[in-house]
Amino acid sequence: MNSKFTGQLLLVAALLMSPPGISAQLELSVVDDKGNPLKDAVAALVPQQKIDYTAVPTAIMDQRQNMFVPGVLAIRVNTQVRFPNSDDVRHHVYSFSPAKKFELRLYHGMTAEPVLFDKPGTVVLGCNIHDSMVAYIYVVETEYFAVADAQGNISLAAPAGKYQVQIYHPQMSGNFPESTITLDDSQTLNNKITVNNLSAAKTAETVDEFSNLF
Amino acid sequence: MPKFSYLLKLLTFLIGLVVILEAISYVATRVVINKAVTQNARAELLSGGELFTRIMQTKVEQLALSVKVLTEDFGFKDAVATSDEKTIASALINHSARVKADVGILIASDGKLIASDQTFGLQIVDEFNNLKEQAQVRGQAYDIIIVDGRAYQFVMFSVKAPVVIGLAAMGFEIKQDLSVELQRLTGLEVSFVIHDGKQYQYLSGTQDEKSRVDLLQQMQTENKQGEVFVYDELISLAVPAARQNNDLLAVLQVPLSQVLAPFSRLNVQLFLLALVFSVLAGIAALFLARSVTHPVRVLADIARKIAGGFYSTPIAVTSKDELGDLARAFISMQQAIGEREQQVLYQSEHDPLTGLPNRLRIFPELEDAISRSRPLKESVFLLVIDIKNFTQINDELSQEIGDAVLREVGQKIARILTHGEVLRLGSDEFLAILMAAQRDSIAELAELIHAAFKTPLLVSGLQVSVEVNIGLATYPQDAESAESLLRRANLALNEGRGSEQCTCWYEQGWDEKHLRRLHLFREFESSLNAGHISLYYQPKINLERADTLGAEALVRWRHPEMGFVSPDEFIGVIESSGQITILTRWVLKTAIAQLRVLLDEKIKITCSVNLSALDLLVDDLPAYVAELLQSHKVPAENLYLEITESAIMREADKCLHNLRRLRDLGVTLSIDDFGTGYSSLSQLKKLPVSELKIDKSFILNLDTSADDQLIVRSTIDLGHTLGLSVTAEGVESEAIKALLKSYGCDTAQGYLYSKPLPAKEFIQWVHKYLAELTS
Repeated sequence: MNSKFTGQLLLVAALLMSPPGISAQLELSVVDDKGNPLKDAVAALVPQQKIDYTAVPTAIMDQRQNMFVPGVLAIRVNTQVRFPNSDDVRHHVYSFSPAKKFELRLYHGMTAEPVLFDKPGTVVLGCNIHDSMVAYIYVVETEYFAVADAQGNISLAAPAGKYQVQIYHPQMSGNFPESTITLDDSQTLNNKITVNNLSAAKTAETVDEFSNLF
Repeated sequence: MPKFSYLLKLLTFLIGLVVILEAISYVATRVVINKAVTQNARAELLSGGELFTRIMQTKVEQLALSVKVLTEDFGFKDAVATSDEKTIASALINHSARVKADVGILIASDGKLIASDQTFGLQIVDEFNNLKEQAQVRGQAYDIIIVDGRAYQFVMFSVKAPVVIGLAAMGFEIKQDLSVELQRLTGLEVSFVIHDGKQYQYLSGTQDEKSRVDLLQQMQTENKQGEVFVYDELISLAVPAARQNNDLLAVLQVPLSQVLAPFSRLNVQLFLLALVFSVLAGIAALFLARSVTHPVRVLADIARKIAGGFYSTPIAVTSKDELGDLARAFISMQQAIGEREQQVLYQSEHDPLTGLPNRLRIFPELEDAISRSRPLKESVFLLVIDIKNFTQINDELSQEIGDAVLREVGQKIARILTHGEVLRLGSDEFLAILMAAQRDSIAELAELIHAAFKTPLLVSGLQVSVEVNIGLATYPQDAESAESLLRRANLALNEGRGSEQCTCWYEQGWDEKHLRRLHLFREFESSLNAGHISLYYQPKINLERADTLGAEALVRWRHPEMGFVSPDEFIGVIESSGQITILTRWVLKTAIAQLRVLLDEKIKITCSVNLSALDLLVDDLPAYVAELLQSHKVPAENLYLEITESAIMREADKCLHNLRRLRDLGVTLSIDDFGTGYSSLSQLKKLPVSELKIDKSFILNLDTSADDQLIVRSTIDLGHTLGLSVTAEGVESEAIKALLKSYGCDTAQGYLYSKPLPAKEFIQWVHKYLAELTS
């Protein structure tokens, strides 16, 4: 798995010590192997010390125009996610991911019960009716995470300290190589991350006509 | 078989024509049919291929539908996501059963393979790699998978939840029943052939074992996919079972014989048609040939009759066609040939000059006359008439006048002998056949003929005197057959000519004499060679000096059958045949050789040899004599050559010339038989002779005949006056010898001394004579 990871996490320590709590700032720029910015990449800084999160925040995974919104959602472990349905058709949201296996049978609006994600991992969401609907929920064991914008930029703020850096992306096969980072308060850390092991983006929609098979 | 050759030709031609036409039409039809049928078969194969593709496609669609349903099943997704192998396997079995798929598989995201058929699953190595790859990229895929020598159609779909969590596939095995079904639908032979990139392998199909092997061989040598190819009378098309690869080919085939089968009935009909036409042509040929050969055969028969000399066969002409024309031509030809033959026959039997029947008619006429004469008890008289002076007329006047004379004479004789048949025998000879009871009336008629020629003929304004000789012979008195009658009449004519008789009747024995002469003539040379002819010598004694001897060589012929042949008889014969010169040379040679013998015996003697008139006409005789004398070393004065007076009558100059040459050799020449021929004293004076021999007819009775005494005495005087020595022949008594001696005759020869003796005896006689003289 390491072999696939050729990218390098260059850490230029620049930790800005903020008042107790969040004080260090980390700026990440994620690109693919061709140097194009990679949106929807998720970065998480997992502290060395495992923390039991008791509070249960709520996140939203909306469904609009037969799409999950957002396509990529990062949440802290032990977060409950609501699946409102903003469409006028019903959806049947499900996940067979080991991190969270659930099923919200056909429903409208806000009728679905929120789902608690109590295990870290990747949860792939689908709709049993609409095959094209896909969303990814990354459940991480930290409160310090963010999703890259359209330019592939991620901004993170965390208290100074040593963290395990986790990078996720729907097209990424396998895990991002383990690496650690030490943040301090004094400066902002600027990092460029190249993700290499990306599977090709789905360009064409799945063909439905069988005759093409032959 | 000349009668049938035309029929055969016609038959061959017509039937041949029909057969050729039928063959051409058969071949043409065959070609068209073959082309059409092949095209049909090609189209059939292509549509069969199309159908196969459609069937395969339908199956793919069935599979795809089924797999799609399976992969979209939430429960199945659940099972896959949770790796619930038992559930997965049961779902695969369940869904496979729905579409009667032979096998269903699932490949989990971790590569684990779950199959509806466990044994199938165990055999899988990497057969699905290609399909997997395709399915991962496109979500769905189709391929032909070969597992353990079995071929499958597999359709694979990805299982999405919603990302790909596995790949599910279902497959139909391509089995024998598919080919059977395809055959049922298309009527084509169907074979499935697997290709592993190198080798072709027969999977299943409707072909028999042998055809399978052949097919594989064919595929191996020539890869013709998608196009129609033909081998071993099989029209074939190889269609890939999948677009993706050529692992499996469906080979559709139809035997040429099968597609041609419906047309074989047409072939039979064509053949029957040809047969019927051939028979019709045969019948037509028969009729045609009959219509030609029958009249031709009739005409051929007539032609054969014409060849046989019959010119009156009736020819019934009915048809107006070319054959009728031919028949009419035959009629006119038959008439023309008949007429011409008559003409030719007439011409061949008639003399063109006189218009009289010619010698070809002699025997028919004679036979006719003879047969007619018998019942009438009459005799047949045959007259051979020739113009005595015709050569003279021809020579002195002209050939034309000669011809005119012949014409006149012929006509004149015919006018006189109206009751007989007059023919022209040749040159100036005519022949008349008369019948009468009495010889006298015929003699009168002969006289009448002579009388008629007393007055000269008037020819081209010339008066030509003609005299004729008539020879007569009578049947049955003189001859018993036509041939002998003719010969004897001719003999009579010759006899008459010799004896200056105008009319000469045949006399008994002439013919026999004539035949004997012929026989002698034929026998002469063989007798000479066989030694039946020999020389005898008769002494010639000088009356003054008895020891001066001479001899005359005389020829004697003793024939083994005919006995002694008199020289008077045969000399005449061989003179007339010209053989005398052969005899003379033989005599000269023998006599000179004998002279040599005598001289060797120390006998002083001369020898006389008789020469004939013909010998004097041969120019090389002197040279021959000279050569003989020289080769035998005999002095020329010992040789005497005797000639008769008459011998010099013909071609006197030539004879004289040769005589002088002989005398110049030193040979002594004598005149023999003096007194019997006609010779003039002037001629005698010219001759280079030295001796004169008086004929024995004057000597034999010399002692009793005063006339002979006168003649002999004056002849001796004459001889002496001319400077010749005189010899008397035929001295047979002392009295005569005494008389001759008193006349002054020089030498004597005769029986008084000796008859002619053979050589040996002659020598003995000489010795004896000389001995007596000296004693």
